[in-house]
Amino acid sequence: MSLYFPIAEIAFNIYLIVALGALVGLLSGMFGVGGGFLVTPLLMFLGVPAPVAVATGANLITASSVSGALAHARRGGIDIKMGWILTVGGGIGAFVGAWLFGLLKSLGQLDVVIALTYALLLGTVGVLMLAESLRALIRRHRQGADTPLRPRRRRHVGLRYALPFKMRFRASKLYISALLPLAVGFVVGVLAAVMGVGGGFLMIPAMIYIIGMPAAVVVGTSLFQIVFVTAFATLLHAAETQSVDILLSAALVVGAVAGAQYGARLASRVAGVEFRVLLALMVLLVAMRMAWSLFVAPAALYRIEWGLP
Amino acid sequence: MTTNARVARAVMTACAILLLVGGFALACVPMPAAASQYRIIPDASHRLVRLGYDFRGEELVLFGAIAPPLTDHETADLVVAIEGPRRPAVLWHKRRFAGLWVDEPLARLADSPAFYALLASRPLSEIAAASVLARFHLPPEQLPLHRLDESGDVRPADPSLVAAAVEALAARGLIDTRFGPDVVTLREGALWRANIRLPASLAEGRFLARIFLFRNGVVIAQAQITFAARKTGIERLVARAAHRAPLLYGLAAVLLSLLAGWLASQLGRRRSF
Repeated sequence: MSLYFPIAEIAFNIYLIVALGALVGLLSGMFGVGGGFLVTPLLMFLGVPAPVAVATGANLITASSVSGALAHARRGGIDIKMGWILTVGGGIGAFVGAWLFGLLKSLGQLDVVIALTYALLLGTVGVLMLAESLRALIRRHRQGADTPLRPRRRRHVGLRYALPFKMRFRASKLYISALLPLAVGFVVGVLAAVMGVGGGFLMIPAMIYIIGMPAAVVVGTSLFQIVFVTAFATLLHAAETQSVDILLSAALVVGAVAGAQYGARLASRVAGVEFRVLLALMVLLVAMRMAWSLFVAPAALYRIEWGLP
Repeated sequence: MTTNARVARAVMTACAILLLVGGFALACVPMPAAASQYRIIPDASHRLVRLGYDFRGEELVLFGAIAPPLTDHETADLVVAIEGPRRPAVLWHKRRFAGLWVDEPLARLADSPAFYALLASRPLSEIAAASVLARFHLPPEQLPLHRLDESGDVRPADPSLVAAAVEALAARGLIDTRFGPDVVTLREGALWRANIRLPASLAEGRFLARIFLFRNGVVIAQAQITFAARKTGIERLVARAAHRAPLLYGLAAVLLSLLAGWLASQLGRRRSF
C-alpha cells in the first residue's frame, strides 16, 4: 500500500517506512541509541528532501528516546540537574543549528554540509565502535566471558575545575563548572538541528571523558537531554522551514515503537558483542554512502530547488 | 516642386516600405488563417488530480476529435505539450571543489514549470523544422523562462540556462518526453488520444496542455485544455496546517512523539513484569 506524504511531497510504500522505523526502534531498544544517524540518511537516500529528512528524523528520535528516558528515570539513572544544564546548552545549540540550517539552505550548501558532517562523524564513530567491539570480541574469546568495557575515568582534567560557575551535581558526585555540560549540550544541540540526530554517540563519550560522569547516570541523562532537545529542534524546523512531515514521522514512530519492544527483549537474550560489530558496520556503511555522494561524479550536473531563499 | 509635393512623395515612400515590411512580417507569423479549416476538440479523462493519501502518480488521458476529419491523415502529426504550475526556483550547478562535488548557484528562476511532458506521434525533428517548432515553444528547451537578477529585475533566461533547468527537472523525473504512434494516437484522422504519466512527486496547481496538429511541417490547428492537481483529505489538512499554523503544527508533532514514546514504555513495562 502506497501513501503520499504531503510535506515530503512524495509517495512511499507504507510498509517500507514502518520497516525503517522498526529498524531504528530495534537499534534503540538494543543499544540505547536514538537511531537518528540511520533514519535521516536513509530517508534522504529514498528521495526525501534533506530538510524534511532532518526535521522528521529529529521528531522520530523524540519518540524513540522517551521510553528509554522513562525507564532510566524509574531506576534513578538520571542526573536531573546535569540533564537540565545539558538541555539548556542543547536548546541554544539547536537554535543556532536551525539558523545555520536556514543559512546553508539559502547558500545551497546544505546537502553538501550534511553529507560531509555525516561522512566525517559517522566515519570516526564507526571506526571507533568497530575497534571497540572487535577488541571486546577478542577479549571474550580469550577469557570466555563478555566483560563490559570499563571506561577509564580521568578524574583530573584541570579545565573541569578551573572554569568558573561551579555547581554541585549530587547524582554524578561532581563539583564542576556548569560551563562544561553547557558546552557539551550546545554542540549536541547544533548537531540535532543540522543533522537530525540525537547526538548520543557524541554526548555519551563527552559525558564520560570530558565531564567525568559515572557510567550509571550517563545513558539516562543523555536520553533526558535528547528528548527535550530533539523536541525543540522539531519545533524550530516546523516554525521556520515547515519541513516536519507529521504523517511520515507517525508511520516511522509506529514501526519504532514495535521495534523497540523487540529490540529490548533481543538485547537481554543475545550476547551484545556481535551486534555491536554489526551496528559499527552499519554506521560505517552509511558514512561511506554519504562520502560516495560527495566524491563520485553526480548523474546530473544541475539541480533545481523550489522556492527562493 | 513645392514642399507639399515633396512631403507627399515621402509619405508615399514610407507607406510602401511599411506595406512591404508588414507583408513580410505577416508571412513570417504562424498563420492561424490556415488553421481555421480544422479544429481540435480536446477533453480529459479527469480535470482534477487528487493528491490524496493513496496518490502514487497516475495516468491522465487527453483525448478528443478533429473536425472535420483529415482525409490525408497519413501525413498528419499530433504534438501534445503539458506544462505544470510555474514556480520560483533556484538552479544549482554541481562543481568540483577541492575534490568534492559542491553546489554553486547558477540563477534564480522566476517561473520554472514544476512538470513538463512532451508527447508526439513521431520524433519532433521528423514533424517540423526547429524554427517552426520554436514558435510554439517546442521542445522544452524552447520554454520562455525568466531569471531574477540580484536587483530583483525579471529578464528572459538565455537558452543555455533554460537547457540547464530542463536537465535539472529531468533529473528529478519531472520531464517526460515520449514519441511514437502509440504515445499519441490519431485514428482515421478524426480521433486522437494521449496518455500523460504524472509522477508521484507531482506539484499542486494548474496544468496547461497544448495540442498541435501538424501537416507537412506546419501547424494546421491547435487547442488548449487545463487541469489541476490538488492535495485532498488528510494530506491537504496536514500541508495547510504546516504552513498556516507552523508552531501549533510543530507542537502537535512533538506531542505525538512524546505520547508514542510514553505508550511504548508502558507496553514494555507490562511485558517485562
